[in-house]
Amino acid sequence: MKNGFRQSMAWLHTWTGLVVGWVLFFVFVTGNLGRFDGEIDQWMKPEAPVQTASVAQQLSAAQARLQARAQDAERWTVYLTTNRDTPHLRIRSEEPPVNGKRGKRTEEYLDPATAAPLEARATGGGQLLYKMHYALHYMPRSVSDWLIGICSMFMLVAIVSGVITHKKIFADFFTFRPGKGQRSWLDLHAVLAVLTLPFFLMITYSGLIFLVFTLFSSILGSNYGFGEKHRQEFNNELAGREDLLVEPFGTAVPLIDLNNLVAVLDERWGQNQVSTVEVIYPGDANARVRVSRNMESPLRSTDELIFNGTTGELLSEQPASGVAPRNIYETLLGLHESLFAGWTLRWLYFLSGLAGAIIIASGLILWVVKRRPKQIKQKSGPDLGFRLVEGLNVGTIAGLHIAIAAYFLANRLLPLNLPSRVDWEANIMFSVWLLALLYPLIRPIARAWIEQWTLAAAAFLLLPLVNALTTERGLNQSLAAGDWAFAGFDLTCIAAAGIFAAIAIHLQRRAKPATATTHGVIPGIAREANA
Amino acid sequence: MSKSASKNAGQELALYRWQVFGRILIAVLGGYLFALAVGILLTQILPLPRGSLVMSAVLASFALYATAIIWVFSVKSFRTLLIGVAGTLILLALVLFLV
Amino acid sequence: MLLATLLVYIGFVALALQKNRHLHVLWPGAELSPADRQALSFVGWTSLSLAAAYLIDQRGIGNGLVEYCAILSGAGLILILQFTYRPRSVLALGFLPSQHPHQHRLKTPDLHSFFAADTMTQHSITRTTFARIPTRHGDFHLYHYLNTEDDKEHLAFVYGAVAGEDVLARVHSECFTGDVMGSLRCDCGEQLNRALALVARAGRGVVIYLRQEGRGIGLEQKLRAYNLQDQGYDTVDANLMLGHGADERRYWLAAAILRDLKIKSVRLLTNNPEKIHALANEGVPVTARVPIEVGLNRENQDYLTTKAVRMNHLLPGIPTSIRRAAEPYVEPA
Repeated sequence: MKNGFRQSMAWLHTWTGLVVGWVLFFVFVTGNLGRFDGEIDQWMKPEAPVQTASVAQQLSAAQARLQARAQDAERWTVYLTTNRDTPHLRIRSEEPPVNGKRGKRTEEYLDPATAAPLEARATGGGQLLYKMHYALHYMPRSVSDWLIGICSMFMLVAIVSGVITHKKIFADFFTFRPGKGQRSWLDLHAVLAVLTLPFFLMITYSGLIFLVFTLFSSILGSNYGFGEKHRQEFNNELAGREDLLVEPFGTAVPLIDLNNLVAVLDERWGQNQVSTVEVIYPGDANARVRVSRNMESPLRSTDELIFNGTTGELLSEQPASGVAPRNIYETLLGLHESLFAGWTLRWLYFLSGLAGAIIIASGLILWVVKRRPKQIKQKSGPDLGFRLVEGLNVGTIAGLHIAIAAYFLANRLLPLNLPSRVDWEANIMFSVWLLALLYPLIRPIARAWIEQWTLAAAAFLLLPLVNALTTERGLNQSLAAGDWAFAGFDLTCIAAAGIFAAIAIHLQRRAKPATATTHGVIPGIAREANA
Repeated sequence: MSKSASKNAGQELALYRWQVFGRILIAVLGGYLFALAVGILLTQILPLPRGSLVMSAVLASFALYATAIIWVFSVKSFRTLLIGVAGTLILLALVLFLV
Repeated sequence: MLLATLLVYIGFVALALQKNRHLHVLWPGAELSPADRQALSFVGWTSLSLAAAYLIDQRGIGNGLVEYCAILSGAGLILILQFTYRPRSVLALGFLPSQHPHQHRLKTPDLHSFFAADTMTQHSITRTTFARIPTRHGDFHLYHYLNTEDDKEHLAFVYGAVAGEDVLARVHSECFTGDVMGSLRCDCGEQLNRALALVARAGRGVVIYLRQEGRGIGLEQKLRAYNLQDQGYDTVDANLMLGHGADERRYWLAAAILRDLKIKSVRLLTNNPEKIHALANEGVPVTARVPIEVGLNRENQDYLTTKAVRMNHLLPGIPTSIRRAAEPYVEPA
């Protein structure tokens, strides 16, 4: 909105980034924790050790439970514990669509030995935390999809305009100048963004592509018709799965024993290579069983075998790779979810996500730092908008971490028989976040920063302690037993506490000489901007 | 600073804010319609199987949207902007006619 | 993955050293010839491409490219942290020689084997001519020089017979606004005049006039920086905001000109301790510093304070009450 292409792009970058920055920060932090959702699941269910039952036993248990509980479902899915993403056997049933909308889905964890629901505390686990990054909370998907879609679109625009604005990408590639106020924040923001640009672009664009059939439903609708039914028709047609393009026959014929398929699977793929088993129209004469293999590359679609659900006859074999547009789509989604990534790559993903969160946070802080010298000189004091941004920055950039620690603490400290325990874990998390957002109203900003970082450090330090006191899997035991999900969780908490404490101490040190003269300021930075 | 000058400055600020608001509206809504129209148009005119067509259009949609938004905020003259809006509307009409 | 990381890292080091900003962190004052730059660029991009090819070959196109991007980010981050906090460690990891070259260009043995020696000539100056210039301070001689690094005409304004030791010298960098127009934003014009007067009074001496406008950033950029200064930023921050160093001046030319005039050592007219070090580094002994403080005015007070506090200029005339408002600027590394 200023003259000149670059200036107008700088304007666009500033404002698109600011408007959705806090939501994006939440999305990045929770989504990033999702890289270890399976491990967090384990930590949040300390009673349930990782299951090691055979594929055949898991399938028998899943089938028994689904037959008893979800006879009328249109679709069953069994998630086997053959990969790190699924520490506990999980089943899902989906009812037939109503009015073109996807039917109701129910998920459950099972104990493969007894075919009964897994005996563990009720918890949202890592899955709920991970789900928040795309579905938020307290709202239906129809709302959250659009909210997240719009925020992601803003982010895409912010990335593109940011690249255009940043005219010295190559000259400043390796340049970071610390301790120089605004210049340092800008360097940090730009250097991390340039370094992680491939990741950043990929994660944003693929994130949008996850939502594309909601946000641009007319493109599909104008070719196939609207509604879930046509969406599946499109999926199967594109993947060349003609064998799944069937309607229920209407006659009841019992489903085959799923564990009978194991011999065929082992022969084709080798042992423990299957990741999910999906049954379409269970109990119908036209039942189909679709078996998917574990992922090995970013391509999310995998080798598949499709069986007749009443005879067990192998109908067709689908290779992972298909037509080019579908491969691109599946690769984008696979890159986003990173299910294929081993430990090294997984941690690199995590670090990139962390960089993403820091980029967003530094952008938000930069907005404040840039305007502060003028704002604090105003006779009437800083504008309301400026103070709002400052407050939201504290409450989100520092406060969100307190809220997440509270979510984990609630998992350990809430009574095990509390009704709606899963809801209460999340309620506590969001209440704490709300308090953190309100907190800057009653404290000077500079103090609020220091206090919230201190609190975040304390809360994360508390987690391993509470874990050691309330379970048999404290850090000393988990390290001794090589229980890396638990040890990793506790050690990461300690590391996070260390980082937050370091920030708090750093701010405290810089605050001392400056507090006398500046009010409502991140300490230290104002001095440099004025110097 | 005389009174009339500050009044002019106030008017200018108001005008600026309206311009910003207008551009945001055009960028968000117009850009969306543009991406949608081009997306659907692609599925109607390219010689590919139906499934591949839809998937290609869908993959391109957000790139089209982002390009449109960047364009709206980069053009200087209001007239160019109106031509772009008119073009999008014509495109949309064409798509509605085709579908 | 380790081999690819190593290749990417080496590639990044080579590419980073192309930029004076990073080069000078490791070798202050070093200059690269265009051929050096090309060679570094070649090594850098080849190394990066090899890493990509290796990963794709080993891990397949999908996994390979993902890991490549991850490694690019990781190696870049490590290098940035090194350049920022432990620049010498780049040498240890990047397999480059760690001795400090006093020459005006960088000798990198790993490149020598690739390129013939004649493409890597040392920068030099050539005196073209000189002429008598009478001034109100007395008769000076203006010496005109050309050089191989830039196409600017660097000058020496000489008074008396200067060959020998302990010559009074001023190394002055061009400031069109101050020197010619008499701008009050800085003290350049007054310093120049004072230097001419002092040299003439001493009976022999030289004022070297280097054409590095605005502490090396050029007139256009200097004017932009002035606009930032009018918004409240100081001269150091303004330069930084425009993406420049606080001081981008280089002094090898001055040393070369002094050598051409057969001046063995100098008594340097300056307030800038950096300049003394710079000349000493270029091989010209400075036997004494002669202060050259000129008057404060309302317009240049902030500028001089910044020079005193953030760039360590020796200006006892700046009252301590003003000094305290600013904070020292410490050049990285």
